[in-house]
Amino acid sequence: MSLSSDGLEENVKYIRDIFASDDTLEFRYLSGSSDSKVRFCLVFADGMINNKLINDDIVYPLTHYAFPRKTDDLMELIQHHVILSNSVEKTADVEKIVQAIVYGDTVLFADGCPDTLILNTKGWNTRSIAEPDSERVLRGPREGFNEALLVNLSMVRRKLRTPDLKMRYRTFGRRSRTQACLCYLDSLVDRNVLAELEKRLDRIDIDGTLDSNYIGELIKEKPFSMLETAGSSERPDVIAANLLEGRIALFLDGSPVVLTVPHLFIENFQSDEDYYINYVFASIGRFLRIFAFFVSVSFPAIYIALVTYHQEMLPTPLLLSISAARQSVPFPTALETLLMLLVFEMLRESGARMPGIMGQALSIVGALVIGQAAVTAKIVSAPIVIVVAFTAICGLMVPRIKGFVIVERFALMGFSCVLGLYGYLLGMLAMLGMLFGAKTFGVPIMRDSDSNTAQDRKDTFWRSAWTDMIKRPSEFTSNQTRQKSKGSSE
Amino acid sequence: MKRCKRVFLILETAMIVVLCAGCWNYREIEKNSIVAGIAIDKGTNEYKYHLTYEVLSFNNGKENRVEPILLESDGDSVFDAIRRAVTMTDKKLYFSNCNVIIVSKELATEGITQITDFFIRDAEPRITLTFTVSDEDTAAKILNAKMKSKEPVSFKIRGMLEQSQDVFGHVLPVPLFEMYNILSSNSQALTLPSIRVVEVGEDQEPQLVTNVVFRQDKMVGNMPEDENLYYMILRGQMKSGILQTVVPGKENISLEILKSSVKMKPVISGSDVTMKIQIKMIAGIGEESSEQDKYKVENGQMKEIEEAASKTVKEGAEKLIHDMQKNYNADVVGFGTIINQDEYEYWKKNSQNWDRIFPNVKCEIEADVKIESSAVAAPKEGG
Repeated sequence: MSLSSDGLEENVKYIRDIFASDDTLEFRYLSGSSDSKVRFCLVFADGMINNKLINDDIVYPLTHYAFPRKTDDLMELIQHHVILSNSVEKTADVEKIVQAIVYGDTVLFADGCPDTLILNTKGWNTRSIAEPDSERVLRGPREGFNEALLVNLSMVRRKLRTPDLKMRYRTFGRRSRTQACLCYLDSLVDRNVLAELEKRLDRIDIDGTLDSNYIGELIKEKPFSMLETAGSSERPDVIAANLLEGRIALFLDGSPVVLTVPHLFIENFQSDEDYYINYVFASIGRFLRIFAFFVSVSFPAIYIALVTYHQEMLPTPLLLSISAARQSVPFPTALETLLMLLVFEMLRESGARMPGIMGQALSIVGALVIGQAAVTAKIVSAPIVIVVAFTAICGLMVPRIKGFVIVERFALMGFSCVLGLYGYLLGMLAMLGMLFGAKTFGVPIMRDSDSNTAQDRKDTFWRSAWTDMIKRPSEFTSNQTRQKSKGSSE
Repeated sequence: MKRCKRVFLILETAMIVVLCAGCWNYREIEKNSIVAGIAIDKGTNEYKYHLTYEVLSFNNGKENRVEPILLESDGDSVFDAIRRAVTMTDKKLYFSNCNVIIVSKELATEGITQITDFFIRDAEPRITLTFTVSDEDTAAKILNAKMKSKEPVSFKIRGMLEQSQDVFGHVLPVPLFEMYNILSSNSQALTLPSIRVVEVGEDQEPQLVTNVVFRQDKMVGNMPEDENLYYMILRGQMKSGILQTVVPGKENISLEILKSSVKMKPVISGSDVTMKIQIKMIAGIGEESSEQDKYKVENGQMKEIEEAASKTVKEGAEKLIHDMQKNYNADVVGFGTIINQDEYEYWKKNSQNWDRIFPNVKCEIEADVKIESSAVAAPKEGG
């Protein structure tokens, strides 16, 4: 729909009606200085704009310019000779005008023109660029995304200065009208993945998207799966590296978390720091994380299986010490383990949610009351505390899949309570089956873990030296050659 | 419908596998009474067996100390006695960590298969547990030993057995599965370690005595203590030990056996069976007690020592085999098994008469001891 009237008052009233009962909307009337007596109206949302910009570059020129008595096209004149603004759009489309106003632009109405000018005057406060708390590194770049889409895009653009980097805007949310940007390297991206992603994005029909996880869940392969189809990061260097491997990034305004697809399971164990430090140390870290994942998922289950079903598998000294510790403990081992793990999850959850100032009280209660006093009072046995503590530490080593780990841990424990080690293996098989069966945009999420070629393995269980990183991950890029000089034709 | 079928199929498979998986049940670890060792004696009150269990109990004090307590029960069979033990304990006796079973001399003389059978068949005891014979008049006396350290006697015996084989080459612990193989071979004779209790000050400590020789499943006597070493060598079980030998001019020399291997080959000519036995040994000089030339062993002398040692080994081995042939008619080294492997045709015909053949088997023993080092750096000239 577009404005039809020539009259300034009518047009402004039209907009005013759309924004009825919105007191933050400002209507600023101006008159030209010359005798033409042409009148203007600036419409903008207070708080979203840069005041100085409007005063100096719009109000001042408009009021001081000597407009001729007669012009063919007033808007043309203003756009090209009067206004000092880097981005100006002439339009009569009401939808566009409304969007511009709510997104911090200023709309200029003029007497006798059906058209308006949309002037870029966005100016609001954003969080400064800081290192993201969730992905800290000892070595490597310290900047992290904030909530402003354009700032985030600029950070990636600075890292990949090539016209090959494509950035395509999209809008999500019928009501929130959240801006998003699809970002990829044109010569590396797999067209099928891109097409599939766009297809899924087109299907999204929701009123608002406040965080990128809204999108992440809506484009999942299987909506109810625990496994993520899209990876996420708050670090521009991670996103740039992902783009360089042929992945697609999805930026969403208002969220510092950027999604990348396709997302392989092994990415949960990779840290950007792996690539910035010596590959041997990086590989040790990688090994530890993968080991920690398995321990965290299976340690309580194996403990229960051994202690309640397969005592004969325990060496005598261990059997004696566990048996001694279990004397006169009231709960069965399975219940004991379950309770202690629940207690740990509660501690973790309360630690994550409560104000930082109460942290000390929490750690005292956790360590002293639940750890020591419970053992001394024989409410729980000491081995359980060790099992839970070790499990918990290992769980914290792979924070990106903590939800999956917790669910699997309890599931395996359940299996193991009912069937012992046999049950544990059954549960483990089910878990591995689920992992190896899952896909992300047509690519199996365990793709590189069941492959046997050195180039597919180079960045999975260990991180190879950069000299050996000759190819990109093969299944989601149209161009595998990372290092040209190392043989392997394009 | 299809989905429903799939779910049912999975459930069904899971249930079948559960049933096929065998013996399993949920039991709390502290509901078991862990049995560390058992002593088996002749029964009292007309029962056939009297079992004494060394059970680990946990002192609920501040430091969770493990204390052994003794339970006893009688029964007409081992299984019967074990079941009857329930009347004395609130917890189930748990045998997986049972290390040692001590059988009284009396029962051993009467035959041991009836006792071992339960432990071979039952799932709980490990097939690595060791049977021993009590050198005292009852087996229970061993478990009753009041040791200085309050640890379980059975654990100590287990440790002693391992130690003895690894560093001393003295008695040979025979794990249950091997015992079963030997007993069912009908040719080889079984040996088991024997144990006594010695007084050390006010305390009593168990001590390994020697190997006890069985014929079939019945104990026939002790192996002379000085022959134990050669028994270990011939069985190929010598891991480390001390070989004493006498060299002219050097008196007594102790060699530390570093490595020992044995090869046997039967040679059959007519009705004569000859075993060719080759013993190869690598040793180091551990100690020598001569006055002159302290620490100095010259090249020529090294040869002398080697020859003397080889002679000692040869004579010792010959004496052992001779004693076993003449005194006990017990094929402890397992000649029968070797003939069975190498000369199957002969064995097929004559295995029934092995009792009569064995005492007349001739042995040709070759022993070759190599001394690797004198364990002393050469002294400086004039130093």
